[in-house]
Amino acid sequence: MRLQMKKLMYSCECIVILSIIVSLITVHIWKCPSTASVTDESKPLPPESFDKSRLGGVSLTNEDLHKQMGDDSNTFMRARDTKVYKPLYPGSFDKSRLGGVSLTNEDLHIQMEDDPNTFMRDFKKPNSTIQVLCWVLTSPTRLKNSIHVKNTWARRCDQLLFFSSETNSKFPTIGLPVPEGHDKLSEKTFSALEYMYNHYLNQADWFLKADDDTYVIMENLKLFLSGKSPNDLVYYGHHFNALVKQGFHSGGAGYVISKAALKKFGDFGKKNCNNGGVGEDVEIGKCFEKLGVEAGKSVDSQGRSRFHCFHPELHVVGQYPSWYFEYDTYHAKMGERSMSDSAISFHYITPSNMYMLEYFIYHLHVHQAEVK
Amino acid sequence: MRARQRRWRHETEVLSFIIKVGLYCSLVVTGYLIGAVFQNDPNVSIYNKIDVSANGDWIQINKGDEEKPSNSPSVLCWIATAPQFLQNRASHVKSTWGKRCDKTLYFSSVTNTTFGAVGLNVTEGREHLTAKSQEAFRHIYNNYFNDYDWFLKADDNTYVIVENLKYFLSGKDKNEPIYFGHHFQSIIEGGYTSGGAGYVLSKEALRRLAEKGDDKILCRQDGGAEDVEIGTCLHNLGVTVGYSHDESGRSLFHCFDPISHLVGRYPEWYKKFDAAGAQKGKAYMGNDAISFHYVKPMDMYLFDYFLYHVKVH
Repeated sequence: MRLQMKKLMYSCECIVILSIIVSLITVHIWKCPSTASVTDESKPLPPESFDKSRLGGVSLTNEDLHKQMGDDSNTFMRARDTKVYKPLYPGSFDKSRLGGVSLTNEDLHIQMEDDPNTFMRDFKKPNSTIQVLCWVLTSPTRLKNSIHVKNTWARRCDQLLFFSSETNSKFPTIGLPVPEGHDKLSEKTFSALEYMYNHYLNQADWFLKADDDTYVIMENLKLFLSGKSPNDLVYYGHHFNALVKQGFHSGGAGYVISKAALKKFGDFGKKNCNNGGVGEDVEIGKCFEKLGVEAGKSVDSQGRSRFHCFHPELHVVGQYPSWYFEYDTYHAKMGERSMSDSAISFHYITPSNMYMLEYFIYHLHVHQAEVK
Repeated sequence: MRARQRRWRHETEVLSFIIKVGLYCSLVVTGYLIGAVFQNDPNVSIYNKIDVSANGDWIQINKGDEEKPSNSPSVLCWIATAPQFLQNRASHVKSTWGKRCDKTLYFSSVTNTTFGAVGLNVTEGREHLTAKSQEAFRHIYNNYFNDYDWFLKADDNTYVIVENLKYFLSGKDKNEPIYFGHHFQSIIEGGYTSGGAGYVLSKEALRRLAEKGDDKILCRQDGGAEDVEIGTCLHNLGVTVGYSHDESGRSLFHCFDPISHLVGRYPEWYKKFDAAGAQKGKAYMGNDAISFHYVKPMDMYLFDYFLYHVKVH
């Protein structure tokens, strides 16, 4: 009996010890990954090996800028038509002053699309007394840029339409019977206007045109429009004093058309307006002038611009292309004080900059005269 | 035969008893070691416990007023710069956020009275940044200690929202041996803060650093990575890294420019060093963010414009 008891005790002890050892090993393995980083002193120190030139600020790299200005069908193409065109090659910029995170669209797409911290969730739609329909010209190959418009500022539009040469029900885009191409842009624009006249005329008070690299602060647009009537024959944007007698508005900076103006276009414009020109914004300008639609002014009471043709940094620095000095109605001012506090739009905004602007404008704020 | 059997049995009993005792002791020792290892990561567990909800409140920007509230702490800022960077980097700090600190000093290796840069007795270069910091802090202690509550160090490519820094510090005790900044969890026990993202010392922390920082055993006087060496020095003097996120657990001091943090474009080392796990996206970035690093000079004006001028109605 004694022997049996002893054997029993002995085997019990063995089992207990084994189970303790097993559980400790399991806990130790689970804990292992983060302990390594604390106690392992052979990790390389940070910045030495790290190529800082890849990082930088919020502005465009010269490649981005060149590519976008090369692609731009609005102002630069028109400039080519009428005068000796000096393209904005990298040499004309002081490269050390611009920088940018060189993200490809693929990077951004991968990082943003299924991101649980998506920008989609957290925003508040601005005042809805004034209804604004936003319409953006895009193309099948540029949907990957347009998605970032959709994810950021365009969420604040009451209605949002994307026009392309193909219908895409998933995105969604509306297919217009106009082929892609820089020389087809004014035709595409007129076609889009006609479409909206036929289907959306009564669904909004104002119709904002933007490019897929335009960033718009919708609240400030609505504030600006609150003193205007959609029954006036008028459109607003960044005004150029050239080519059209009353001037015209830059396409890239975005322009907003009143309901009455759209109706006038729908009723009379198709017959009267020339479809074929290269600069879409110039052709719209000429068309509207014929229809009696005024190219309204939009600077604030201190003469500061609301709609902007370029990236905000370029307006701060003032390194404008030469044609801008002649076209701009307000003499191509520069510096942060040339831009209104109620700024509405900026152009040549890369996708990553759109997210940056969202963060700066709608999240990051400065505590004034507050303590905890 | 029987006697031998009895003896053998007796020996095995003794032997098994010894084995048991040995095993139990080793288990206790292992348990203690693991417990000690758990305690080595206080910082990681602090940041991980905070629930970061995707709370992206829409906030109205207030226009930049220059008034100071009466009970907000006073902050002295010093910028680490160099003769070759005065014009194309430090001058832009001076025109933008530099003027919002209660006092801003620009430290270089050469005095420049036109610009207002203080020359320290150090050689220029990355290998001598530790010496520059040590000297700068001593200079500040000797000349300005009594006049300010907190002391911020930043680079000439750091952008700081000074009002948010003051807001962050307003509930904190300047007489505690503590400092705040972007928290790295590695190399030193308790971690250290990134130099480039800016770090801010309490009055007590500065006092200890300046009075005892010349002890060559406790503090490396030059060489190495500046933030690691200053961090080690402070640690050896009993100064700890404070919790440097906001109440919701979102980051305030940032090692990189805003876009890199928004999209998570980080180098590999950052993912291991960051005490909060190298999160990305604006849900993890504070609305009261204090600093960004690697900011190009022209972008400082851009940030100023969006933070202090643009209003959203």
